[in-house]
Amino acid sequence: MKDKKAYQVDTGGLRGELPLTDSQKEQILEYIKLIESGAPSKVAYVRWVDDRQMNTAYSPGFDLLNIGSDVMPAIKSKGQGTLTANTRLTWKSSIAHELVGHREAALAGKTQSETPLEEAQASIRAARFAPSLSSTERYTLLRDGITRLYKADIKVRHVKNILHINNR
Amino acid sequence: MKNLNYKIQDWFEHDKFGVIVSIASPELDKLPNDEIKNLVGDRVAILDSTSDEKKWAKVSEIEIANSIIDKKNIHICLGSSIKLSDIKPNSDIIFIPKQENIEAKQNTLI
Repeated sequence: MKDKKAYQVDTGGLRGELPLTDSQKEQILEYIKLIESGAPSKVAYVRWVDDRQMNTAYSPGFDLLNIGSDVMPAIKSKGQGTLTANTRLTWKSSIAHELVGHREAALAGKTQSETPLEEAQASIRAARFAPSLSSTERYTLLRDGITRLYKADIKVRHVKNILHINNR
Repeated sequence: MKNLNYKIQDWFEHDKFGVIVSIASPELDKLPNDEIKNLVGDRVAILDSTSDEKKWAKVSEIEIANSIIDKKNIHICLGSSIKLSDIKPNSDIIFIPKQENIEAKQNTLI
């Protein structure tokens, strides 16, 4: 029998660390299809990496979406303080952040060169344009985007015209 | 001294770009992207940890993707310089420091 520990990605408790179930994978694929129905094209490569030390992330150069166990939010343990926005993002919000946020901006040639700007742009785009999200999911994504700018000491009003957040 | 040997986490053949191997490590999460690209260099070795057989491959492109909690997936495109079937499960990728890189190129020419 394989060692279960060896399959777990270490997120420091910030995101999900357990391999995804078949049912979770089906739901995720359905949501990807829904996003693709409003996107210019389908994602070329979706690769499941939830059984190894890799993360959920999108690579525009290869049109490659990796989906890891960290697509799931952290499970808040008893006595733990309030989790930050990026640890609370649901799997739908995470996929929306990668595809509507990063991928569709890349397809439009609007990727930001600075990481905090690119990540903030991805979360704000997902909050505004991703299909089938609850108002809580949209609010958490927006909080994540604003927090990323705040942590990088960037004022929203200084970059709101630079970010590709006005249309899908 | 930086670690130059990383377990390959994923590998596949891309229609346009050929063979791509992916790695991730908490050690690499701390480095700026440019430093990671320099560390990978333009030639790598793929080590089959079962047989200890080493194969050389040419790096044609490197892409680094950030996760939602700022962890990095590093995708190293090896194009057609290696066959997908040459990469076995539990293989490592070894980055070659500059001097060794030159020697590897000379060996290929010989």
